Amino acid sequence: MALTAFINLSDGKIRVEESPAETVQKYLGSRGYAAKILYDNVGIDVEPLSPENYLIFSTGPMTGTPWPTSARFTVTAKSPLTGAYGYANSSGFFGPELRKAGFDALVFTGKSKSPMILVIDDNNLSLVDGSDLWGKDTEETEDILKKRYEGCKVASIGSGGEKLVKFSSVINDYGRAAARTGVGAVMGSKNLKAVVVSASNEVPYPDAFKKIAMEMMKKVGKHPEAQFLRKWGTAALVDPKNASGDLPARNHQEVQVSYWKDVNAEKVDEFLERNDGCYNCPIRCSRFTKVENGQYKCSTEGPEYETINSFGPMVGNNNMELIIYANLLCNRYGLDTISTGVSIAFAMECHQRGLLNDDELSLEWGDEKSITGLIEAIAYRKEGIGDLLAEGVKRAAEKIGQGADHYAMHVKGMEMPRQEPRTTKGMALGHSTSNRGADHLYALPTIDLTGNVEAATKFFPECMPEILERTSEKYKPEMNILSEAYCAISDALGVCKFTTTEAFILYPEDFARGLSELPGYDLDEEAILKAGERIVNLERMYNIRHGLDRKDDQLPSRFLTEPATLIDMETKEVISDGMLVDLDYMLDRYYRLRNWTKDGIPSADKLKELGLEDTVGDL
Amino acid sequence: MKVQIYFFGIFRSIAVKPEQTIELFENASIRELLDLLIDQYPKMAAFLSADKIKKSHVLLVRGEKPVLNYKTRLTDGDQLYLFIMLAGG
Repeated sequence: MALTAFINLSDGKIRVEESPAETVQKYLGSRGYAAKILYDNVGIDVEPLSPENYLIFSTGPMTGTPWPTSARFTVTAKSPLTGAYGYANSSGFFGPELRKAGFDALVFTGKSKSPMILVIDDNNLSLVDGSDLWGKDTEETEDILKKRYEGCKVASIGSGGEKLVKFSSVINDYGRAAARTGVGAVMGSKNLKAVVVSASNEVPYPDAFKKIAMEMMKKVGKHPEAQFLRKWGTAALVDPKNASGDLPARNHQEVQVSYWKDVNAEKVDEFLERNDGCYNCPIRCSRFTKVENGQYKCSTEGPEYETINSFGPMVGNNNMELIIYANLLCNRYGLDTISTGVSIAFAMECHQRGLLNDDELSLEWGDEKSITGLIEAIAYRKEGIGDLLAEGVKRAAEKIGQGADHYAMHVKGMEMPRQEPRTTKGMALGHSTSNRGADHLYALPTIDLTGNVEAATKFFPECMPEILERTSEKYKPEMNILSEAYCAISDALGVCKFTTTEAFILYPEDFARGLSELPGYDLDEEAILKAGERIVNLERMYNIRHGLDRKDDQLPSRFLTEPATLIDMETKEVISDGMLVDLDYMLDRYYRLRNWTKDGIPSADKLKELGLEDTVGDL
Repeated sequence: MKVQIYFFGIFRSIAVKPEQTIELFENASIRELLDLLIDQYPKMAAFLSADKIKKSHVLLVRGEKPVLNYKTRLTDGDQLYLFIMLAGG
């Protein structure tokens, strides 16, 4: 029996109920269950940073079990960044502890008059005063709470969430982030500083489930992709991405850099302290780094590829020490590294174009004082440029005007992760259709990028081999529809996408097999993929209700109008040029295959087929 | 014997074609195939030459499985897929 707790921060009342098993199972759990709660309770009249918004921490049926990489949990809310559906997903050890304490979900409503902490000791919940922690960064907060509640796991916000920065994150286990869509700001708006959880029991599961989990553990552990990630982490992507024109630089004005060796995995290795992993993970991709001396002296978890690009090439910086330091600052302040880096790049390009200046910071590309200064200015919403950028690039561009929107790299208001749409067309489509705004993890369409002939042949024999060409729009809708469903399954079950869409180490049928050994679940591969599709469509309908449709599935104009050129980095000869995104071609086909209208709205037939009859009224 | 090779990404740009049938001596190795490609497309040497291939993130798939040993012998009718391996981020 798993539980859902409702915590009203306005009156301090806490209600714990047995979770509605049929609903949880229909939406698999975690991200799916939380999307259903949000859909049913947070309407169009609710402002994201008002007490009426919901903030939901949720775990999946596999979180905290022996299943490999079962560390993940989700934080869901109406997003202050997009004004629509929002969620962020994190790893580490907090989620498993929450699951061990017995919870499917914690649902926060209302707003406390003063800063509070939710303390969970197994299934005893209490709200305690957190005033003394308000103003402290996430590292100090976690240090203090771990002393107060021995053995606990902590998720907290820093100044980013407290100051309602629209892309602030929730940080757990010091360096793990539920980073995207501004869930940290929603937590801050409720005056909730932290959630502390301690559990004394293990997650219950049948022996038959454990047997399959152990089989999967071996499969994941020995897979070459897992071994590669263990050795190098995602920083290993820098070299091949640069060679392939997929290393965006200076706000996507370039797609390669000459200094890639200053920001690649081997450079990270010079600062490596140790490798580590999240709960029950045989991959162990996490890399802890340390800068020994100088102005950036620090140690932190990371940087991963997204952060390397965000504070490296994207802002014209080739100093790895600064990248590591920027990573640490964002974790301490509780800021999304992607949105923060993209916002700084936006400011620098606006300066380059004569649209933005600052009295204290040069805003020149690669200027180190500007990079660290802007992180701090954003985190504390300093008057002027800090306050401007803390709103995200979409709103900042609207305020600046004069065509600044051309330099604002976002979709639906959320800043773009660090792929280059003109050279990776599956990612271009994925960023565009993601229901939480620009995102590489909503679809994680990598069958082409990873050259996964096995997966492509299994799922798309009729599209072979063209589906594997990353620069071609053809068959990307087919690939992305599968990947979006599989990502939804991963998030809903509470597992890492490195075992699923990133490399297809495990297939949906593996999860169906394991899940069917858990009470209440009985699924085959078709049924589990259908459940993933149901989650995506439910999230879509949440956005449709808020007036979003095809006009919001758009990429920044740069990718449609400014051709990219790929060169051989050694000889400087042009390999290919004129690369743009034909987004309309992909959207038309994507919508048609999904049985959505040309405007990107699910048909009533599709919704009924997925058991989403309740949402038809929103059409 | 003949093998079919499909080019992706940079390799497709360099070859200016998506696929090619290549004739090899019986029992030729994958290394020999790669050397033939370099002869025909010198720009591929930056990725496929023996001293660079380990560090250039080349992924060569034979059938459905990645090639781990370039001394592997090919057989008539083999299908190969040539990529620079990327991932999500």
